[in-house]
Parts: sequence; structure tokens; C-alpha cells
Amino acid sequence: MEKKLNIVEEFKQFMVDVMYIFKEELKLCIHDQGVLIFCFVVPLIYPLLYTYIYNNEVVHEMPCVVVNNSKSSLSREYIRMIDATPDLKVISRDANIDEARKKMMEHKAWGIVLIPKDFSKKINRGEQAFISVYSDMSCMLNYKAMKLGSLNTALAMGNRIKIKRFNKWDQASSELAISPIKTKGVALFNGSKGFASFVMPAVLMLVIQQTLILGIGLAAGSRREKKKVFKLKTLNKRNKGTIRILFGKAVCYLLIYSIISLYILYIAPRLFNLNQLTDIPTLFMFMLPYLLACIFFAITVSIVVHHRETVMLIFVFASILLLFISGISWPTSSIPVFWRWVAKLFPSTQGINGFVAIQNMGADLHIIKKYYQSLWIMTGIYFVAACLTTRYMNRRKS
Amino acid sequence: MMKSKANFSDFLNVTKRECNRLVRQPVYIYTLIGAPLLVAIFFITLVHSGLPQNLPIGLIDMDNTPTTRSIARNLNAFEHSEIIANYPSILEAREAVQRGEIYGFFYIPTNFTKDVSAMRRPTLSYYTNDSYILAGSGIFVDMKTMATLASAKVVRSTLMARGLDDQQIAGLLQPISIDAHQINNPWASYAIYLCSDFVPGIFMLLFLLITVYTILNEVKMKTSREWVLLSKQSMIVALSGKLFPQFLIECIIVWGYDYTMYFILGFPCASGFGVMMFGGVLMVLASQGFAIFISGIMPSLRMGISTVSLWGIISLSIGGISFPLPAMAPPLQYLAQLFPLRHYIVFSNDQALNGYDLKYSIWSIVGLCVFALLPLLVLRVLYKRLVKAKYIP
Repeated sequence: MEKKLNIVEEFKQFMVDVMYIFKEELKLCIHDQGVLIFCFVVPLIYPLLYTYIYNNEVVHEMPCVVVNNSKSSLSREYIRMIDATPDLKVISRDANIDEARKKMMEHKAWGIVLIPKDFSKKINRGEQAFISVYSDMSCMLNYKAMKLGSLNTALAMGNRIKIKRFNKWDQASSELAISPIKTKGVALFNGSKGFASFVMPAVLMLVIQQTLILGIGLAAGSRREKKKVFKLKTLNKRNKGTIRILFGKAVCYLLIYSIISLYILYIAPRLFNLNQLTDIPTLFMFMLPYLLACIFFAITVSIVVHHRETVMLIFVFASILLLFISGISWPTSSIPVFWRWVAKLFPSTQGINGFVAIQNMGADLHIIKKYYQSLWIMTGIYFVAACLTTRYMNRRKS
Repeated sequence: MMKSKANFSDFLNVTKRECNRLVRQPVYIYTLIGAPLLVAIFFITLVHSGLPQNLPIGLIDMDNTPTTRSIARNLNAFEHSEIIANYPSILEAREAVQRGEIYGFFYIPTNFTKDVSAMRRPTLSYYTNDSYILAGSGIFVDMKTMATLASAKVVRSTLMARGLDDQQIAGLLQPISIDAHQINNPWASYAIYLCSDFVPGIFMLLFLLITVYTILNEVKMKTSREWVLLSKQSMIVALSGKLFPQFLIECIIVWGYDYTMYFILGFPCASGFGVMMFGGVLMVLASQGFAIFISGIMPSLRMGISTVSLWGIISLSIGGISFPLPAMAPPLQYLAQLFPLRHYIVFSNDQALNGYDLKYSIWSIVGLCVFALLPLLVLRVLYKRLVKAKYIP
């Protein structure tokens, strides 16, 4: 009977201690400008800013110059047609090649369409005619717009010519000769091929991990610089205090970031009409291990940091590398094996891919088991790591 | 402060003091040398193939005849795609896409071969996942080409049987052909674009961070007074003497990286290396100038570093590297001018990639110079803070 009471007492004491740590940490978060910036301001503003930057999704009406050496009605029609595509805008229809080059150098145009002298002659003779397209390569999406606009127009105009050419034949064989096999491309997910829908889920998940690392790192740094310690009676009793400190901190950041995640991952995408194929329960179940893994990871690395500003010197630029290593932009199958292993050390890799699957592709947790289990395993590993580092720090202090 | 009689030996004294600090604190070695090296090696090894190859795709072959198997073999031989699995139905293939095993799949319907010979015009379809844009468009091109080729093959044999030659067939099949020229990057290589824009962007972020850290850490550690006194209270000598060693290291990093890109990896450097060395110096000066300015107007080390962190990270997006600036909302196009990286990217694209005459880059050069000269606005403020300000915790 007495023993049982002890357990109850101990559990009560445990909860009291956890609540104490939780309150202390929350107080620090709210009073420290640095932590405030990273845990509240950045997560609040970044989704808005990034969506604003990428909100146009694709390049529309990219300015280009036409050098029309053919000066035929056919060539003029082609120019009218590319101008009418959503991709391109013709800013000069009758330039010579030097003028066109000058427009490129002055950044007034990003591509040149060159229609050769024999363009309509070739078409009238029933031969294949060529149009040369020159595109600036400083930005891949400009090149894509140039290619799409000029190619689709060539195909559309070509189809009309084709029908005329085959008209000499009987109906059945002309249809067959145009396309005996039909082809159909289906975009399964992110059908508009939009840039925001592609990059935002990854950026948002990364913002969560990175701001947690910076916020927790800053808080730990401040505490260390001010030589503040948690006043726990149980702290020195073997490693009991460690677990309490970790639980207290974890509850604090889990609470803050549950609200932030709801805003970043659920409300903000709705405001901007990004893909949103998931529901709150799935999102909650998925984010639980992600947030926990990130929090314990952040606590582990915060031990490495002796001054709080150094955490930023170390982790800010890493965001870019983590984005690339996640496989969202440069495909995982093309990432060298070494970097693929490095990628596995960070919760963001599994988090980003899993979130893209549930958000953009409407997958459920069962389908993304691979990512989901990895996140729980990471939570376990980083919890142990955080225990060890926290205990080490406390021992050194005492 | 302006009446100071500091001379060159004072400059050397400050520089000497700074060199001592640099070697003693590991954070300098890490940010000035370790991190840039890591970033350079990372991007060069990550994208060295230029374009992603052998992206995993799936196949659903409902027909399974010699004809369809040959289509699959041909598709497999394409550069970007590799068929890693066969699926019995679209449902299962779709799930494999969701699991992240494949980026898309090619679908051949039942009775395909029979329908082709009976002229019933069957459909070949290809499915892509554009949540991964680069992979999605890579396999899209391959699968579309394969489907079109399969169709063209049938047409060709029909037309040949009617006695037409290749030239006539080309004219019939594709009356207008687009001859695409990718100026100075004929392979449309991502390596060139990632390495020449992203890496300098991260370098700049690191330079901003370390410059703010160097200056404001003196305030925080209360050593700034000693520093200013050593330079006979001349802010010009204090700042230039202190930042000179870093300037040299940063220039060497940028030049070394450019050298690797242009001479070892063979990326285009149409303007010549000299122009890019000049651009590198401007880029380092602009970063340092902007960082000094931020150090002057921000109340603490923590705020200063936070500001340049956010500035540096946002500049990688608003700089128009992946998504072009002219395609963004108009206010952003003005806002982007406040980011030194934007000016450097325009400069490096105009010069290294396109080799335009230097006069067309005059505005990017002016832009970078303005950032380099920004410290002049905050000399007085900074002086006051360095001499007497207390560290705000």
C-alpha cells in the first residue's frame, strides 16, 4: 500500500516538475526577442512571403522578339499565334537580328524567334519548314516558356497544314496517317505544373524544422550564457531530472508548433489555393512524430552551441542544402549515395516527402508508411540522444 | 571622430589584431572556409551529371506482345527514364507514385497490337507526378517522345508503302519543326544554373553573417572600445582594417570557386575570367557593405544576425534564380533591388553566361557599388555604439 502511494506521489511530482519546466521554457520563448523572431514571426510571415513570390505559378507572357525574314502571310500568322499563347508576348515583330540581340542585352526580351526566308516557300512545296528559337538560359523557366510557346504553335499550325496535305487522300487513310496511335499525357498530381504548388510544401516543412532548431538553440544558448539552470529538486538524483526537462521542453514546443503547423500547413495553403488533399486528422497524425523528431533533434544539437548567435551561423545556410538533399527539386534517384545517407540524418527529408505525398497526392498514412515509420524511429533515436546530451550538460554544471 | 589622424600603421595594427581573432575562434574558420567549401563540394557533386538520369518509372503493359515489349525496351533506353517495375493496374502504379517509388508510368492498353493493325487507333498514355517538377518533366519528355515515335513508326511504314521518301514523310508528319538553341547552355544543364547562381547566393549569406558577427560580437564582448581606440578613433580605418583579412579570404573563396567552375568543370565563362574576378570583388564588397549597414542600424548582435539570415535566405528566392523576377508580382520586382544578390545574379548571367558587353551590366555594377558604400551612412551611429554601447541581453 505504501509503495503504491509512492508511485502516485512520484508521478504527481513528475507532472509538477514537467509543468514547471514547461512554464519556464514558455516564459523564455515569449521574453527572448531572438526566440520570438524564429518561433513566431518567421513561421507567420514566411508562408505569406513565399507564396507571394511564387504565386504566379508559371511564367506567363514572357517577352520575346521575332526576326521575320520570310515576311509572308504564313509567317505573320505564326507570329500572331505565338503572341496569343499564354506563354509568350511578342514585343517586336519585325526586328533584324542585331536589334533582337540588343533587346536581349537590354533585358527587354528573353528569347528570339527567327523565321527563315524560305519558310512559306517550303510549306507551299510540301516540305518540312524550320523555325529557329534562341532562348536565354539564365532561368530555366524562361527557357521552358519559350519552348512551350513556340513548339505548341508550330504543332497547331502544322496540324492544319497536315490535314490539307492529306486531304488529297481518302478520309480513312488521312486520319490514320496523322495519328494511327493516339497519345495522352496525364498529370497525376500538381497538374498545372505550378511552381508554388511544387516548392511550397517543402519550404514550409523546412521552415518548421529550421525555426525549431534556431529557436531551441537560441533559448539554450541564452540560458547557458546567463548561467541559468532549472531549479529542480530531483535534478541531481541520477537521471530523473533529465527526462523531466526533456518532457517539459517538448510539451512547450509541441504546443507552440501545433498551432503554427495548423496555420502554416492547413490555413495558409487554403488562403492561397495551393493543393490541399489532406484532412486534419491525417495531418495531425503525421505532424506528431515530425514535430517530436525535430524538437529532440533541435535539443540535441543545441548542446553543441556555446554561444547563441553561433547557432545561426551554423544552421541558416544549411536550410538550402537540406532543401536540395530532400529530393524535392533534384530527384532523389539522382542524388549521390553519400548525400542520400546524410539526408537520412535530418527529419526534414522524410517530413518533406511524406507531407508532399499527403498534401499534393492525397496519400494516406498507410501508403506513406516508409516515411511515417522513419519519423517515429527518428523521434526515438533523437530522444535518447537528447537525454544523453542533456544529462551530460547537467552533470557538468553540477 | 572625423578629426582622427590615423595612418597606415594603425590600419596594420587593426588588421593584425583581427588576424589573431580569426585564428583563435573556430567559428570564423567554420564560416569563412569550412562552410563555403562544404557548399561548393555539395552542389558540384550533387548535380555533376547536369540532368537527372535514369529516373525510376513504371510500366503497365496490358497487351504484352513482341510489339509492346519492344516499345518498353526502347523507352528504357532513353536517357532520363528507367523502368524499374511492372504493375498490373493503374491503381497499383498510382500508389507506387504516392509511395515515392516511381515518378510516373507508361500505360499500354489491352489489344494494343491488334488495334493498331486493324486501324482502330488505340491510345498510349503516360502519367507523371509533377509534385516533383524536375523529375516529372524529365520523364514526361521521354514518355511523350516514345509514344509519338511509336505512332510515327506506323505512319512511316504506311507512307513508305505508298512510295514516299523520307523528306516527303517529314513534311507530311511535321510541317513545321522547331530548331531550339539554348544560348551558351546547349545541354540545358541544371548544373550550370545551380552552381553559378545558388552557390554565390549561399556564399553571400555566409559573408553577411560573418561580417555582422565580427562587428557586433565586439560590442557584445565589450571589446569594441579597444578596437576603436587602436584605430585612433577613425571608423574608416577601424572597419577597413578589421574587415580586410576577411575580404581577402572571401575573394580567394569566390575566385577559387569561379576558377573551378569555368576551368575545371568547363562551365561557360563568355566574358572572360577577369570580368568575373572583378564581379567577385564587387560581390564581396557589397556583402560587407550591407552587413556593416545592418550592424549599424540593428540594436544587438542577435537582431543583426537574424536580419541578415532572413535577408540572405529570402534573396535566394526573390533574386529570381528559379522563378524569374519579371514573372513575379510588380512590387516584388522593386523590392528585389534591395537584395545585393539580385544585382550579382544579373551581372553573372549577363557576363559569364551570355558574354554581353560590360556596358549592359552597368546597372548591376552600380547596384553592387551602392551596397558597398552603404556603411558611409552609419559611420557615426556605429562609432557611438562601439565606443560606449552596452550589450543588450
